[in-house]
Amino acid sequence: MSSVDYFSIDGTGWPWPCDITRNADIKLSDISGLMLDRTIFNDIHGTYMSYDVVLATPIGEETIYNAFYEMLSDPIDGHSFKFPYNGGLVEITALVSDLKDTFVKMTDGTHWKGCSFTITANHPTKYESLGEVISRGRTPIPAQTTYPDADERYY
Amino acid sequence: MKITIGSTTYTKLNNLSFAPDTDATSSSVPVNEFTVDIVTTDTISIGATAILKDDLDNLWAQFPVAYVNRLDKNTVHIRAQSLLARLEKRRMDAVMYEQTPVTSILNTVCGGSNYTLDASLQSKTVSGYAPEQSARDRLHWVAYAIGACVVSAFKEKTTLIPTPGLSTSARTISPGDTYYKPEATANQVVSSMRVTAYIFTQGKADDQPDEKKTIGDDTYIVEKQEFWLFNPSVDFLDSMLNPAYFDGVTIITPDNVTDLMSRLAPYVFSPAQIVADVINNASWSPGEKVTITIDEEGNQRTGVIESENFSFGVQAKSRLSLTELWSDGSEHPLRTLTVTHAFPGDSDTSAMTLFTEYLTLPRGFLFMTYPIRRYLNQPNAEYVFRPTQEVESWQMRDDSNSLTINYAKALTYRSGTLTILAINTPSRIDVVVSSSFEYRKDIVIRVNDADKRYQNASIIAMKPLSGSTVYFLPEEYANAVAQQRNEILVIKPVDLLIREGTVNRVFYGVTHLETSLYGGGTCTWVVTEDTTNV
Repeated sequence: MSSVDYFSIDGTGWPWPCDITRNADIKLSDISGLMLDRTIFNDIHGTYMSYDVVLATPIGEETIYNAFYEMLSDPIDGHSFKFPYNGGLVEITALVSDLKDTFVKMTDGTHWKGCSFTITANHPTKYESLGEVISRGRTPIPAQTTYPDADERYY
Repeated sequence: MKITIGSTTYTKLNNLSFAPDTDATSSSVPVNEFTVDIVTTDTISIGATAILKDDLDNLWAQFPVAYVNRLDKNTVHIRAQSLLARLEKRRMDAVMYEQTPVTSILNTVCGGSNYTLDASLQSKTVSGYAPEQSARDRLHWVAYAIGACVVSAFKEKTTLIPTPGLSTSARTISPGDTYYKPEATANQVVSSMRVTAYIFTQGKADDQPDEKKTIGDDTYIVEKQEFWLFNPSVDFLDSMLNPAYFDGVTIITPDNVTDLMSRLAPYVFSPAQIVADVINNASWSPGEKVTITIDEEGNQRTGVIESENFSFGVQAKSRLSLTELWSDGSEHPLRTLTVTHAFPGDSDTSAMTLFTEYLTLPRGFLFMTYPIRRYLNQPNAEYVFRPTQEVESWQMRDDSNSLTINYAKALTYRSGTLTILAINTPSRIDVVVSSSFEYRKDIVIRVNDADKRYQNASIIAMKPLSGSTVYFLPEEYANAVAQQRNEILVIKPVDLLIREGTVNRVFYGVTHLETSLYGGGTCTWVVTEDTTNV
C-alpha cells in the first residue's frame, strides 16, 4: 500500500477517491443482563470495527477495478484490510458484505460505477482479558441517581 | 476457556458444555462431565486427561476423555467424564465391614491416587454388609454412611468433603452478581423420616431367621432397627402425613444412624428449592453452602449448591440449584430416645420386654405416642397386651432419654385355654347391656367407669363353636368408641372368613357370651361356624 492509497485489500491499495464511513461495534455476550441490584451487567467481547466504503471508479482503469472487484467478491470469510484509523491505519481481517455496483452505458462506452461494500472485522480491535475484566471490576454507579432539572429534561 | 490434553493446549473451543452437580448427602453420586468441540486436526485419544481451565488458569475440571468424535477435518468433539463413570463399570464383591477404616475402603473402591478425602473424615470407619455392587454404588454407600459429599468440579481429583450442615458457615453471593431474578419453589413438607439401621451377627448356615446374608461360607443374621425423626416444625399429630423412608443401606448401623439422621434432617425437611443465575468465574462450586438474595427487598435464603449449569461469555454465568437447609432459627442438637415397650409381669407371667425402638429427636421436642395393642407369640403361649395408658409423652433433654411404655395382659391363650382378661379395657363396673347374644347381634356395654376412654374397643379374638383353635382378629376389628360415662359402647362383630388348610371357616359373629366381660374373668367366645371343603 502506497502513501496515496486510501485503503488496501490483501496488500493491494486503492489509490482513487472514495468515501469511507467508520463504525465501532461494542459487542456484548449472551450472559449480559439485568442483575438483582438493578444494574445492567455488560459482558463485553470487545470492539469490532466495520467500514462502509463507496468507491469512485476512474474511467479507463477498468482492469484495476475488475481485479479489486474479484478480490472483494471472493467467497472467503476474511480478507486482510488496512483502513484509516484516527491518524494512521488499522489492520483487520474482515468479511465483505453488501458488495454492489451499477452498470451504465454512456456515449463513450460502458462503465461500472457506484461500487459500495461493507467490511466487518472478524476480531476485536480492542478487548479486555478475563483477568483485566475481573481486576477492573464493575463500573461503580452513583450512590443516588440524579435527574436533570425539569427545564433541562427534554432538550 | 482452554483445554489441555497431554502437552497441547487448545483455545479454539466451540459449544463448551459444563454442568457439574453433586448430592450433598450422597443419596446418589452423579457423574460429572464436560463436552466441547475443539478446532484441531490432532488425534485425541480416549483415556487421555483433559484439563479445563479459564484464562486465569483456574482449574474447572480434570477428567479423562471418554468419547471422541471427529466432526470434520478441523473439528473434534470430545466428552470427558469424572472418575464416577469409570467406577460404574467396575464390580465390587460383597463384603462384611467391621470397623473398617474408610481410607482402606476408598483405596479399594477408587484407587489410592484417584481421590482426596477431607481430613475431618479420615478417621471414620464403616461397619455392616455391602452387597455385590458397582464401585460407584459402593462409593455412594460409603459416602452416605460417613457423611461425605462427593465433588469433582473445580478439583484435580474426586474429593469427599463433609456434608454441609446447619453449623457450616456460608459464603454470600451479592445481589450485584445475581441475575434478576432467583426463584424459590416450596417443597412439600416432609413430616417425619425413618431410617433403618442394620445389625449383623454371625449365624449358622441352617439358621432360619427372617433375613440373612451369606458371604462364602459365612452366614450373617440380619436384625433391623427403625429410627424415626419427627419434623419439629410439624404438629406431632400430623407427623405421619408425609413421612420419608431411608432403607436398604446395610452399612447404616445403630452406631452411625444418629449422625446420618442429623445430616439428613436439614435436607429432608428442606423448605424450598432455589434456582438462581449468578456470575460464576469458578467462584461457587457444587457442594458449597451459600446465602443468596432472592428478591429486591433483600430477603436471603441459605442452601447448598447441588448443581450448576454454565454459559460462557468473557466471564461465566451459571444456573445454580440450591437445596435450602431446614432450620427454625435455632440449633436443635439431636438426641436418641429409647422407647421400651414392656410388660412388668404378674403372678402368672414374668416380666418381659415386648420390643424396643429408637427415635432421633431434637432437644426440647415433645414426643407423644398413643400406644396400641401388641400381639406376642411365644412357644407355649400367645398374648395380647394392652397399654395401660392412653397416651405417653417425653420431652427430649440433653442427657439420657428413655421412656418405658407399660402394658397389661388383655388376653392369654395357653395350653388350649383362652383367657380373656379384658375386651380392650372394660372395667368391672361397666354393664353388659346385651341380654342375649343372638346371631349377628351387637355386643352392647354401658360405660359406668367415668375415667374410661374407649378409643379402640374391639373384639380381639374368636373361637369356633367346636375345637380349641383361637383366632386372633386383625387390628381394629369391629371397632367401637365411647367417650364418657353412661355412653353406650356398641361392638359390631363383623363376618370373617379364615382359611385353614383346605377348609374355609366362616365366622358370622357372636351368638352368645357365656360369662361376664369383667376384667380378670374367664370367658369363651362362641361363634357360628360354617365349614366347607374347598
